[in-house]
Amino acid sequence: MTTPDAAPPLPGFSLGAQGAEGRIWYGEYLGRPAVAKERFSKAYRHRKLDEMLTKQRTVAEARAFHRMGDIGVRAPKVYLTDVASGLVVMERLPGVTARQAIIEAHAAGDATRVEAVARAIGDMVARVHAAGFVHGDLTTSNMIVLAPEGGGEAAGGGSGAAAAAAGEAAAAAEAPPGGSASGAPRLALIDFGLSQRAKASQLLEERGVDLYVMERAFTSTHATCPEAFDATMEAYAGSGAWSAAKGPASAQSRDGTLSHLQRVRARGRKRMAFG
Amino acid sequence: MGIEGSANKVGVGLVRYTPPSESSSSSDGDGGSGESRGRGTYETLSNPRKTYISPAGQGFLPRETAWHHQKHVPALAKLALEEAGLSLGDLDAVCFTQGPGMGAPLQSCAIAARTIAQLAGVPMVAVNHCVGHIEMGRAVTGWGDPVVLYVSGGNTQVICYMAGRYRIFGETIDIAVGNCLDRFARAVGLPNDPAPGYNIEVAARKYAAECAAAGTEPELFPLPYSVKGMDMSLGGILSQLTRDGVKAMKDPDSPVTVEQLCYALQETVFAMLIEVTERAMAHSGAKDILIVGGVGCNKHLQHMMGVMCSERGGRVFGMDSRFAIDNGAMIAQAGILAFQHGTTTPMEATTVTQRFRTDTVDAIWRQ
Repeated sequence: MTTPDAAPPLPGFSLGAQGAEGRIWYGEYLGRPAVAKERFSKAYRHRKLDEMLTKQRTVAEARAFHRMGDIGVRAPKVYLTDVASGLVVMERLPGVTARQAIIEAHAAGDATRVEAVARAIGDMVARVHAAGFVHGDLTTSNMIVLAPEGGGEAAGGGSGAAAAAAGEAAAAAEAPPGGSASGAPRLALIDFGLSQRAKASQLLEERGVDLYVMERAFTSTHATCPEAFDATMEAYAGSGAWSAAKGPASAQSRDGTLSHLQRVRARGRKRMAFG
Repeated sequence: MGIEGSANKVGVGLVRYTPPSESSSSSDGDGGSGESRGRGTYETLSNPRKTYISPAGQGFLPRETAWHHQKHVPALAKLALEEAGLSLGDLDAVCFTQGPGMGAPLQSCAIAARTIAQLAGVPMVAVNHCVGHIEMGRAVTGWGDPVVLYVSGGNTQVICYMAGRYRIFGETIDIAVGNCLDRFARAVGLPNDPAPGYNIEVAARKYAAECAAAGTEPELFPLPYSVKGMDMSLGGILSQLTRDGVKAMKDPDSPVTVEQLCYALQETVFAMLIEVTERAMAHSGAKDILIVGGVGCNKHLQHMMGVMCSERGGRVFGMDSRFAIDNGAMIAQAGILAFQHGTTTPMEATTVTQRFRTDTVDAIWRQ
């Protein structure tokens, strides 16, 4: 949906999409392909609630890059933040959404590719969780399958700068050198507005809910491809991120999370009551 | 004929299908999807119902509710036929709510449906209660493809049609919104009559009006705002209110009043519902919203939703008792669509189920 009368937050930016929470603009920032995310005020909300949510989410979005960078998960580099106006300008990652990648691979009958993308998702989410964070909105639209480095096609041109940034940020964790389309997909996570560092006492609950949200997103978006979620969860459980002896990155903590997911699911069934 | 009795309302409705006349093949002016083109008309002939109101200070319990339904369903069936000027011999099928809902009331109505179907010698059609709301809503609003917000005492779901089924995009991960409102009302001593949610709405409106008159901004008692992806959590709000909220309300030194709590509850919970609905709209590309279920009667929710929707250039449908509140005709409406596509439910399969997910129904009439 487009709103023709909306003015771009920065000169030269053009409207890409109007989501539920804000507008997405595309343009260049200091010569690099950039995305500007503008969270607008919601007229239906109480002013204080609106201000609080906009601020909270803008800050969470802006912090994510550093938080994720520390744990080897690729997230967009933040160029500019203006909390008061709910604006975050960040790097534009070259690639397609995991949603698109899975749908296309599934339509093409490429089960190997579906599984590869799904496994990469599982491993990435495990890294986020093992570090004590939850994303808050784990849909496949919020994950980018990065275009292969060098020679890759950028989603919006100017791949050079962004691809270089990718190499720098993702740490050597899992990026295959000169990965090709057929190699292991490299993923990035975006849209951190609902993300948070989980309180220790709430860790299992928050992660369980995070996984439940992801499961729901898979079953509604990839209803015809149930094996994708299975592969994701298998990779999540088998991720190398759960290698600590104790604490949030331990295998024990992972098992607790997975059994908590069962409890969240059971809660879900129960709420389907009457009325 | 449709028979509904999954919660505290029991109703019997009659719906008649008239095929499009041959001379005017494009009879309905909505002209939208291929589905609606050449469609005949569905007319609700009668739709009487009764509501069981529980004693003050408690909710409706399965046994008493079932007794209520058992007592009224035969008379309602007779009345429905009488109002329509029809007899048993005119029926083509008897549709009943299979679930979700409270076991004993559902069962009572299923027995009534089986009896009537056998007396009339017609087949039965089992209907999912939520799908009943949706199809009646679509019938009344021109067969579009809206995002459905289903908010009642037992359900809080955001639903979109996709790939043959009504998919649940977002929902509560703990308690339903109506349940949250009812339990809060009970905790602060607001009456059940006419409905706890209505009394909360009135109290909140009073507070907002007082603030407007005084030219001040209404205070927002802090409550946890909890949206998780497309889902939401309401349990924390209820415990915050019944613990800190009630304490503040009773503290003579604190300015917090029950009206203020009602206001904060509505502002917070409804903002969450609308945010999730808007995300489903962005995701599905749908422009219109259909609000169904008892909480959908709340005018403030309607208003807030209208504000959001107008920003997106869409429309909100709600506040129509034909689909917002439980009734028999909506069960007949969903049932007749399935029936016209060859679905009937054999007698031995006419059991009821308390848990029956919206997305398990194969919506063959939409495929």
